[in-house]
Amino acid sequence: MLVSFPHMGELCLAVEKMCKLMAIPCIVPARPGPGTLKRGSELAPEGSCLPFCLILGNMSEALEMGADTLMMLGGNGPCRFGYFIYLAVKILKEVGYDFQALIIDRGHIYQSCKTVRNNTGISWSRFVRAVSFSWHLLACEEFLKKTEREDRAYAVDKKGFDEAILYWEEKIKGISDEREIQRIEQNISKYVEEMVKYPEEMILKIGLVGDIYTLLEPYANHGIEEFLMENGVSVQKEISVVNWLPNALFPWRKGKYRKTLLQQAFPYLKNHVGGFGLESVAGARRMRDVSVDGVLQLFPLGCMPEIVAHSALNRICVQEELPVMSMSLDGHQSVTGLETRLEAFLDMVNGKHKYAGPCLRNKASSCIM
Amino acid sequence: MVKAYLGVDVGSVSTNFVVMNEDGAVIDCLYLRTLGQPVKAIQNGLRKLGEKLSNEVRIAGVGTTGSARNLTGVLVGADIVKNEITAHAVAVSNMVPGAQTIIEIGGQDSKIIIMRDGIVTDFAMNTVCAAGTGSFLDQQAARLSIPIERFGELALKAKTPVRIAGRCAVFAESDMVHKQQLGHSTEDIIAGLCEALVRNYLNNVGKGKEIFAPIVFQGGVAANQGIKAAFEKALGEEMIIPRYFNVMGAVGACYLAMDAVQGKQTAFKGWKAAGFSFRPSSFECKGCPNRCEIIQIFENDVLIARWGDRCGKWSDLGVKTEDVKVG
Repeated sequence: MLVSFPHMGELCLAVEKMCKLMAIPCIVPARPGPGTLKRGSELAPEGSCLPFCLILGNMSEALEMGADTLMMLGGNGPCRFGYFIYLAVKILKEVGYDFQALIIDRGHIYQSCKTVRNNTGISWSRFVRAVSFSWHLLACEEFLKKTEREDRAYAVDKKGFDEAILYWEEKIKGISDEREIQRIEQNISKYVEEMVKYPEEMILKIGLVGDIYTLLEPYANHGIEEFLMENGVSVQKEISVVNWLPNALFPWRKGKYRKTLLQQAFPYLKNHVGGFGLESVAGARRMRDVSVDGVLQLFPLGCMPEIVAHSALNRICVQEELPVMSMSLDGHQSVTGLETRLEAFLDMVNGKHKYAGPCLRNKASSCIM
Repeated sequence: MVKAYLGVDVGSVSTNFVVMNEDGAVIDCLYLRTLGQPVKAIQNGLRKLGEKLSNEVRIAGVGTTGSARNLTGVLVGADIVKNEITAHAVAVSNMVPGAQTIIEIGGQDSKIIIMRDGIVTDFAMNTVCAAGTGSFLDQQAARLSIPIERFGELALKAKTPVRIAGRCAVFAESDMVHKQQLGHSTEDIIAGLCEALVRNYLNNVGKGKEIFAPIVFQGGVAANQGIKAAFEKALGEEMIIPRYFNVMGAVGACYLAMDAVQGKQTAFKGWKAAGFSFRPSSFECKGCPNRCEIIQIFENDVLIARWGDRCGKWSDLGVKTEDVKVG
């Protein structure tokens, strides 16, 4: 058994550690890049969205590296994401790869766990410990990322901040027990609390909503987060694996989760529209409450749930005076067009000044890239 | 010597220069075709303006905009590099005070900018399709062997414009071919195309936007009377076409430059930059799976700028390509 998995955001380190704790040999494919996209587009049906191409490409890369078992989140729902993994598995088997799929979704989680245990022969308690540890590790990683995107803009000493983030990234890679995780999280919070900050009103806050893979994988969103951070923007993003997965896996959490979302999205969206459409609308409303200056909706070209959400977001934009810009992303290699729109959006949100650029609001950043 | 500001807008189809005095009056402007070679077009423009103006004006600030704004900024020596949406909005708020809507159709982009009290409150830009922009009209004019300058005039002669699908450039073209094979007159087909493109623009770029008069129509396509008439028909409002409609981005860049320098020394390299040897080159960085395409700009064989890297390691010009494995 040689396990591998497609990337999604910060998932890889946690999964790798989990496999190590369970004594399962594991290989990590390269992070998605142009090569992954090329491979994925060749295999995927015409018109497939960017996340599907990238995940498929990543899986095929992993299989080329010798993996015989692929682990992946399944998820259920009316979007292709519900059928995502099954389609990917079928395509890969059809082109001749031989492997077993370990699907993590409500229908397959127990079966997948059993397969892992049967193959490794580890006890249930060791299994649970491994899962729990890697879960907390993932949460810690996502917490660090969140701190970076939200608080970097406020840091007066950017260099020091970046160094601190790098230091913790290295630390997290070396963690071996859960107490250490807690300590690191506390240290991060403490650092942010104590650092010299720009005043709140000087910093532009932009929220990101949209499809989960596009939001989590930098290659799929052309590094939008980095771009915004470079421009001195504090980036708000609620979607993460840790926030989402339990709601998708455990039936007892699903009802409450949906109800809350529906309440928040009301009256703009009154139903679940598949994928992360409802999350996008509810998320934008929540972000308005934490007083973001604008919201960016990111989705892969042709993503139905997000197209539905887009219309609702348009209405929120007009009726609640919250600037919203939607961007559909595809495999284009040049980011000029994207940067033009982002820059203009920041200028607009900043537009209390007549010619204001992001630089006027935050002198620490540069507006010439 | 008059103190003046230079604005350069390098887009997919045209490269525009505006020289403006301190009071916002345009001293000279230049509209050149980019022809796929921005460096050549920029130097060409600099030379032409330099020959004419080098004894009359002293450039106190430079602004660049357009899709080649970063490249232009490095070549010319810019004090500010700004996206074209902001540049267009700035130009209009100064030249057509009170405007509430800007319709801008250029070579490959079409945008709508909504303004209230001189401030941008909303904007949109075409996303996936370039149907209805200048390059498509250019291409269709060439196919029908009509000079693009006469395109609009012919459209106005149409008696019964035909219906054409404007959603996609490929569909529009095949519709046009079919209608022409059925025997419709060229004028009717062209007028039909103008209407289809306007419909497409309003349904996509202008979707959900509050389009209030005064409406300013600018960009290269604003020269096309057929499109202007189709917009007026669809919106029931008059289109204001500013005097410098085809160089408004560069006009905006001038204003932005004025704002950016504020008594500081300009970074302008001088008209002599027209004679420099600029050589762009590129390579693929193999440092990580992102495989960034790095662009390097050499001025007289000295490396002056580098971009395209996500991680930023190449932005330090001290890093040599030999030092790092580039494959």
